[in-house]
Amino acid sequence: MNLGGDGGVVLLFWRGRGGEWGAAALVSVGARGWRLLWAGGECGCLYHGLTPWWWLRTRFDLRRVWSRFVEPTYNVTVSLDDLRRGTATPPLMDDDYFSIDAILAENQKVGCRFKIDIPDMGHLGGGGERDITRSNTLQLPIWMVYTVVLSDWADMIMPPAFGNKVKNALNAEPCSVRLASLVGAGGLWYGFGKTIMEMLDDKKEMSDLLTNTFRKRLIEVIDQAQHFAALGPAGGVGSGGDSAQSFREGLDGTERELFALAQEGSKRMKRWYEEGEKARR
Amino acid sequence: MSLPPALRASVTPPELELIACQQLVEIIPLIPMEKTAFIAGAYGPLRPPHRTRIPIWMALNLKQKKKCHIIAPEWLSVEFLEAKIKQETTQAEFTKLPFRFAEISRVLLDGASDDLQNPDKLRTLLQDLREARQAKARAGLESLEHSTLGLSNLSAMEINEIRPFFIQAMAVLKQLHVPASQ
Repeated sequence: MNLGGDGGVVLLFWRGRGGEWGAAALVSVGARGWRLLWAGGECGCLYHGLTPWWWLRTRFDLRRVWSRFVEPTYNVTVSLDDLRRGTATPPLMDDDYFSIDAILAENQKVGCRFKIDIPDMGHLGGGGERDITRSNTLQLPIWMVYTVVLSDWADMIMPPAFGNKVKNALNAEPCSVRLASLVGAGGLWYGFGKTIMEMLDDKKEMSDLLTNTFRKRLIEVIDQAQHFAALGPAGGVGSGGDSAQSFREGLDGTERELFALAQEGSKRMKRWYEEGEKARR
Repeated sequence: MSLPPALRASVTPPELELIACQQLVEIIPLIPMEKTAFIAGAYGPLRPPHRTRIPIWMALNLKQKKKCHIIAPEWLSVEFLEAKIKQETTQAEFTKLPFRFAEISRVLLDGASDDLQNPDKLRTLLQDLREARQAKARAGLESLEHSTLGLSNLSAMEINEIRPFFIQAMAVLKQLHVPASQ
């Protein structure tokens, strides 16, 4: 598909799981990039009309393709291969505006100690106070922390997920820390850490902490994934002991994804080897 | 994309098997056949009892119809594999084996086990070899870095097995890495 230099209007539409079609968005594409003219509500699946609907099944995919599709270049060319490349390996924890992982990683609140008085903004803290006063501590969403910290209105307080207690525990035995419980359900501890890291002056220490933790836990993740692949569907219950189970429950979203990948790979290998055995019998 | 996530990152073992079956293997034909053109190339002529080289898929097909004997590649023998296992367990790095040894040994053991010497022993040896190499690949995880990974002499099947999560893990490490200049 080539949306040439003279541009035009593209109607994006979606197809629901029931097979129904509907218009989702109207985008004008021109020499200067693109502009969203109109967007519909919930989209199940969406892409340019010439492309088979099965390219995209979820609106997460929609976000990806959209970000590829609307590259503000003069000639927007999206080929099937581009799309394939764009979605082949979902980027984890990138800074992509449309990345759902990036959004999840930022779904955290960070404590900030204010250095100045801000009148009439007390409602941000959820309390009955009218103003934010100096040395008040508020839990702010990350997207706001950027602005507040960079403008020197407040100091960021290191979130407890990366506090000294957790740090010491990780240095002692990375596998015994339940990362998932540090950031809440569906949380991305590494992604959150990276976001915090970007706001620090001394990135090295944080980077080392994250990298070492990841590397040490990775082996255990893969070992357990392969163990479970070898067990097959029936044998997954009640094995491995308490510490292994506790480790699995404590996996953060990033590790969970790796676990699934490794398990799937091992399963396929096992199936392939066993097919041969079956043929022999 | 419509493919399940696990298939996006790498090919499947049966696909690798298909690729490996394009390789040539030596056979002793039991029937005569003229030189025949296939899409992959022209093979033959088959003149018993002279040896000739044809692709594995064709050899297996003939074998199934009892029209040839397959001569096992020299690495598919008890002595060779025993030596390799010894190397594998004493050396730190992977030993050199044919790139597609896992696929080829499996299809030959399945389809032409009566042409091989001591196929049961071969199976056990290959299993041992595979486990020894897997243990090494696991050890390689410990030294995983964000930029490069050196595991030489890894075979196609092994690369394929570890590819999805190695790539993903390296991508994560890359995100967590801070360039030294900062």
